[in-house]
Parts: sequence; structure tokens; C-alpha cells
Amino acid sequence: MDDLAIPLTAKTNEELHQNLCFATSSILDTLRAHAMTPNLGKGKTEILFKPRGAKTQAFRKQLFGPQAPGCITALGEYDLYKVNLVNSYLHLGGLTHYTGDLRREIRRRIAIAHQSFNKHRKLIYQNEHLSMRRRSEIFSSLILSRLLYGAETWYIQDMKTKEYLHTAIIKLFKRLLRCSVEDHISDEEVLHRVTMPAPAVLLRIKRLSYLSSLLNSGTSAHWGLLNQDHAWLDLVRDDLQWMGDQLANSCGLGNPFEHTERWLEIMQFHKGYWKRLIRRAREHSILLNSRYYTCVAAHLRIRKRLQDQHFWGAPHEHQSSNSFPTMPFGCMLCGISCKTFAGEGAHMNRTHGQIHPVRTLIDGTQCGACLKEYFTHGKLKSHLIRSESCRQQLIGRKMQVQPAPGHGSTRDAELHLSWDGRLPPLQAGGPIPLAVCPRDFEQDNMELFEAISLLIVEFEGSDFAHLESEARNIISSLPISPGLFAPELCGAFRAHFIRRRWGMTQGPLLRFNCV
Amino acid sequence: MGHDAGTLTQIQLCIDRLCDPDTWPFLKSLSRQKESMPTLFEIEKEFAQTSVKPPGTTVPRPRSKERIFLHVFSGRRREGDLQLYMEQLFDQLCPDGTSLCVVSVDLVINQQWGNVRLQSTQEFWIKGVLSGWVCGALCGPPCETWSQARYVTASHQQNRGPRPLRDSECLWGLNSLSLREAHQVATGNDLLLFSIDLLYALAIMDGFGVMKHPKEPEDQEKPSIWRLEILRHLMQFPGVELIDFAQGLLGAHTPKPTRLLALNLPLLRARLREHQVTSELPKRSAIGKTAEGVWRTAPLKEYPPSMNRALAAAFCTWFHDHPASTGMTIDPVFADRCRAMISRTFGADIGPDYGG
Repeated sequence: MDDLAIPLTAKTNEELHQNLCFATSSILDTLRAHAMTPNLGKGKTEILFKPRGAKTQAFRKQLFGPQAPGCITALGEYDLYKVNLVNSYLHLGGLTHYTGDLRREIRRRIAIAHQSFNKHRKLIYQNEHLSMRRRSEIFSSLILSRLLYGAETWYIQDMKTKEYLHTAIIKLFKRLLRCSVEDHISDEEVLHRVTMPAPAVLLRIKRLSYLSSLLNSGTSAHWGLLNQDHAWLDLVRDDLQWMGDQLANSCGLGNPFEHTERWLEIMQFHKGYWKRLIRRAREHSILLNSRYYTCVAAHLRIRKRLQDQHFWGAPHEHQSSNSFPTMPFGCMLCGISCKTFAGEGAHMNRTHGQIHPVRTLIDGTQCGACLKEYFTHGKLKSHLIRSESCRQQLIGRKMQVQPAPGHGSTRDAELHLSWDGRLPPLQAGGPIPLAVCPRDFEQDNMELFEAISLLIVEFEGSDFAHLESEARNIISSLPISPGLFAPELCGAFRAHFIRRRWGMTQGPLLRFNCV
Repeated sequence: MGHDAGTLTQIQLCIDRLCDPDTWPFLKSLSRQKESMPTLFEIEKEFAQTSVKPPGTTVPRPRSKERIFLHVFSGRRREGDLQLYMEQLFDQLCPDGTSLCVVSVDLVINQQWGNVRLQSTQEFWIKGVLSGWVCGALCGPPCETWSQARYVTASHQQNRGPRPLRDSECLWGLNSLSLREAHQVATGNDLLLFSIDLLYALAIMDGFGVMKHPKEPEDQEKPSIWRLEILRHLMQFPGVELIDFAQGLLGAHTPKPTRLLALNLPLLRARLREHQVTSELPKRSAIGKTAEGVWRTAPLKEYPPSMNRALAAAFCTWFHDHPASTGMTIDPVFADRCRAMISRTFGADIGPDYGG
């Protein structure tokens, strides 16, 4: 009975609920009949419930809403059983989320991998007396095995999590190379230096090995369940195609989809050969990556040398573009650059006390205009940024509150964890406040616009270097993002241009936003 | 207030400059760092679209009294090799008190400093060139992975030879190969890229150099290094000349059509013509293996003596035309390393290819 997991499915949510109650009571009654007392405590016996299809929103409210008991009640012959309804469950060392989301499991695995790395960091992984090849082998055996435990069944649903996993594995490889995570080394170079396949290939290898184990397990595998997992099957098909491509010129197996029987026979009856084939495909992908890296790196090295020695000429074909070059993130006043928009926002908040104006409309998790409950500050902020009518109503009411902790704060993370996507935004009862005259935030940086406009208007003579230097001084005196001043400068120039064309010598400055 | 059209254009240019992150020093570094590694296709396209911009005026570079010449992939020392002729001709043409140091950069000579697959070795020699200590180089990177013979043998099912590893679409190697072949292509690429890197460095430093490889095939489907964008870019340097000839006319056993990329050697074409030993091409071919099981192409790796002499004559003429200056000194560590790599022992065996 240990580690028993029972998958249930039904055509409707109600039917599923009934089936669940019936299955729970039947199993627990059977156990009671055999003088066994199942542990229904927290973390021991639990239910993951994923409502889908019609009336899901209502069902979610019923199961997870404020009035929900947080458990499934099943009436058996001997007792009334109450089994906890949870969002995630740790089964056989792997954390399963009711939505299939793998973020937390991946985060857990990465933490375990780093922990294992730290254990023998100096002795093995960063020991320069050991060759990189040897260290990579040990790393594969001890770290990757822990990191990718259960990864053969993973189906990562979103790009963000895929990128997160990729970056985390590359970070581990960088630790193996003894270089800082901040070092600007391309992923290709990291993979070339550690002689490891790309993170996506590591997952492929896990799945391909698992496929052979599944086939060898015969009828004990849940083939019906596996056949319904279309997303995972697509991944496996893609893996087989990848393997076929890698081995196309080194074995006579042919295309896996044209000679499926042959491939299946090897998986099922020649496990040792299948393992060797997987290893060969892995080696081939490492060599292919190294080859491309070596070629590109040599080109880049030569280009840099030519540029340094001023031999690198202009391109034959000019790429004309009317748009401004993409501005990185940073702060013009402090003269710093940031890697991400979030980093810039954090700096602007901590150093200059700037916040997103919408946050002055948030003092809880409920929208004051439409009275919907959003459960987290971050979701409410997104709602107010998107919903013009709610935002304009709140501004029209002259709402100005002490901002609640924003997206990424500990408080918001706690709220997010307790919500965990279980409930849709809930409409609160009660009267909707009366509508007021809508107003919105002033989006532009008026101070910069006026200063630059004045500089252009008052400019006389032909000392354009001085004009540029003055404009630079103005920009550098303001706590403004590099991405924001370009439209302001452009707007100021266009306003001046239009005034000149119309022969206006006085009057207000017109504003034209740069598109 | 009354700005004319010219002034407005200048103001617009000012604004464009202000909006360029590269004009803000603190943003410049990050905007560069954020660039991800381009793909091979992208970087090759960039080389194809970019021209070489030589400096307008050139000042003659100082040359040291010790004339260092790199013979990359030199192979064994033998009678009638390049070093022999260079040392002979240098004494005749340059009796000005300078000395010649022909460095044999080859794995058979030195396991570390002759192994140009090692990054440290590559950096060592390139640094020597960029410091102005090395005057010139001759490189004949292995052609085994590019060989046209691979296409010939593949058509005969019996007695099949090695198959093609590259094609015109995948000049740096086919995407699917056996592990051994993939290693072979990687080795070939590394050695070729080092040769190209070396020639670029020599071109920047106004040195001289030659790269030798089989002539470009007429069939557009077949691969050739002369179709690589990076080499086409190198060909734009002033002083670069392509010379097509047949080694058969200089004494090789087979016709062996060859192309040389000559850098700053205007007399090389004439020297090669002067050194022809026959006016008719040999009729033999070098396809398949000998009775001893050795590839027939193996002996052809060694240049015929007449070709060596022609090359040596062109190189020594360059030394003669570029006299040494008194102020230039070579780093003693580099000079000692070079002296240690002058090969004096004649070898009996031709070194093996990657393919054996």
C-alpha cells in the first residue's frame, strides 16, 4: 500500500468529484476491513484535484473558495473519511503540483544539486588537479543524477520555466568551470569547456532511457495513461527524431518513424546497445556544439582584432533603420546600467523612491473600483495597468494610498503561495461605488521635455557640440531610465519643428510622442 | 528661434547621438555585453557583407635582426625541404648580419608548442606575430577532410573509401557524422582556423605568408576552403594574391592542382613558374590505397623540392626587401622557444593523417 497513487478522471467535474468520493471510501473501507488504519494526516494521504471543462470556475470556488472546508469528505461503511485537498504532493521524492506546473519541483532539484555540489566543491568539482574531463564525469554521476531525478516524466509547460531550468544548469556548469555566474561567457562556450550537452539534450537523454525501461516493464506500465499524455508523447517523438538525426551517419537503423519496429526491438530486447546508442547521440551533440562554438569564436576573435586595429570596414549593405537603437536599462543620474527592467525598477525605488504610479491605488488585494478580489498585489497591479476604466475611476476619486508591498516582495510571494492559482478573481458582493469623472496619470517626464525644448528654442549659432553637451548635462541630472529619455528628446524636437513650420514664435509647446 | 533646415538637421543628429547607448560610457559596456553569441550563419554573413578597410598611410614596421619564420604543419625534416632551401638562399640574399630562424610548428617536432589545437599554443604564436617578432609563415592545413578523393571513392561500392564529411552547404562539416568523423572534422577545422588566424595577424602586421590548399573544384556542390566567407574576406586585404598551379609541373607524381593564398609576396607567381621542372602534367592519380595499405595521397603531403625552392626564393626576397632595424628586439622567452623548435634531425617516416 505504500506510495500508492491512483489517477482518476471523468467527463465532468461533478462526476469526477463523485468518483473521487467513491474511490476514497472504497479503498479506506477495504483497508479497515483488513484491520489496517491508513494515516490520513498531512503529507501522508492527500488529494490533488484539477477541475477542467465547463463550470470549472464555479467548481473551483466550491472546492477552494473562502467557505470551502479544504478536504474531500467520503462516507464509507465504517466511518466518515476526510482527506486533505492539497495543491502539491511529494510523491517518491518528486513534488507533483495539481496543475502539472514544475517550477517548484525544478527549484527544489536545483537546490539539491547545489547542495551536493557544495559538499565536494573543493575536493572534486573545483579541484584544478583533476582534469576537466574527470570532473565532468563525476559531476554527471553525482550532481546531474540528483538534479534530473524524475526529469524523464517532466513536461515543462511554459517558456519561462524552460529558460529557468536552462539557466540554472548552465550556472552549475559555470561553477564547475570555477567562473562567476556574473562572468559573460556564452552558453555555447560553457558547454564547450565542460564538454557537456545542452540542458535540453540532458532531458532528451533521460526520456529516451526511460522509454526503454517502460517498454521492458511490459504490461505493468500504465499504457492507457501514457497514451493520453499527448504532450509528453510529442516530446518523446521529437527525442526519437533528434536521436535519429544524431545517428543518421553512424548506424544503419534509419529513420525511427520509417523503421519503428527496428527501433522498438532494440529498446526492448537490446538494452545495452540502446544505452550505447544514446551515449553516442550524446557525444555527437557535444561535438556538434563544440564545432559550431569553435568556428564562431574564431570568427569573433578575428573580427575583434580587425576592429581593434581599424581594419574592419563598413558593411556593403547598409541596414537603414528609422528606429532608435534599443536602450539598455539603468539610471541616468547615477550613471549605472542594469541588466533587466526589474533591476532598473528596484534601483529607482530604493535610491530615488520612484514607484509605479498604479501602486498608489493599491492598499490590499481587492480592486476598489470593480470590487474584484485578486489575491495578490502583483495581480491587482497588472489589473489596474490593463483596465483603463478601473484605473481612471480610482484616480478620478483622487485615491492616494500608502503603497502595499509590490510584486516580488516577501509579502506578495506569501500571498501568491497561498493563492497558488486555485481561484479565479472573485467578485465581491456589495454596491459598486458611483462612477466619477475618469482621469489618468501624466505619463511623460515633463521636466525633461521642458528643459530640452527650452534648450532647442534658445539655441543660436553653430556650436552643436555645446548643445549636445548641455543636453547631456540635463539628462544626467535626472533620475530617469535610458529607455525613457529618447521619446522625450524626439518629442521636444518635433514640437520645435512644427512650431517653426507654422511660423509660431510664441504659444504653448506642442507634444508629439515618438512612435 | 528661426532655425534653418541645416540647423534642424544638425539638432536632429545631436538627438540621434544622445539616443545612442554607445555614446554613454556606462551604458556602452552593458549594451555590448548583452549581445548573445551569433550563429555561424550570422557571423559568416557579417564577414561576407563587410569589407577590409586598410589604413590610408602605412609606416614601415621595424624588423628585428633575428628573422623568425613559422613553417606550420611542416612535417618531418627531409632532403629538399623548405627549411633547407631557405637557409641556403638566405645566406646568399641577406648577407647583412641578420639571422634566419625557421621554426617548424608541427606535432612531430614538439608535442606542446607544435600542437596548434591547444589554445595556449595558438595564443603564443599569434602573440608573436602581433608583436612583430614573426615576419612570415607558411601553412598548409590538412586537406584530408576536404579532399575531392572522398567523392571519387564514394561512387565505387566495392573498395569504398572514406565518405565526404563536408558539402557546399555545410563547409564546416556535415551535421550528422560518426563520432570518429566528427572528431576528424573538428581537428581539421581547428587547424584551418589557426592558419587563417595567423594569416590575418600577418596581414595586419604587414608580414608575409602563404596558405596552401587544393585548388577550388569546378563543381559547385563540392566543398573547398576557398568558398569560406572568412577566406573570401581575407582575400580583400591589399597584397593578397591567389595563385593556381599544378604541383605536377614542379615534380609531384600526380597533377595535384593547388591554390596558394600569397600575402605580400608579389614575386611568388614568377618564382613558381621559374621552378617548373616539366611542361607536361603527370598522368597518375592518387586514389585509394597502395598494396601496403597506405593512402596514395599520403606522400603528396610533402611538397616537391622544386616547389620548396620557389617558395624559399620568394620568402628570402621579402627578407632582402625588408631590412632589419636596430631598435627592434624580440622577447627572449619567445626567441628561445623559437630557437628550440628549429628542427635539425631528418625524419624517415611521413607522419600519419587523422584518417591513418
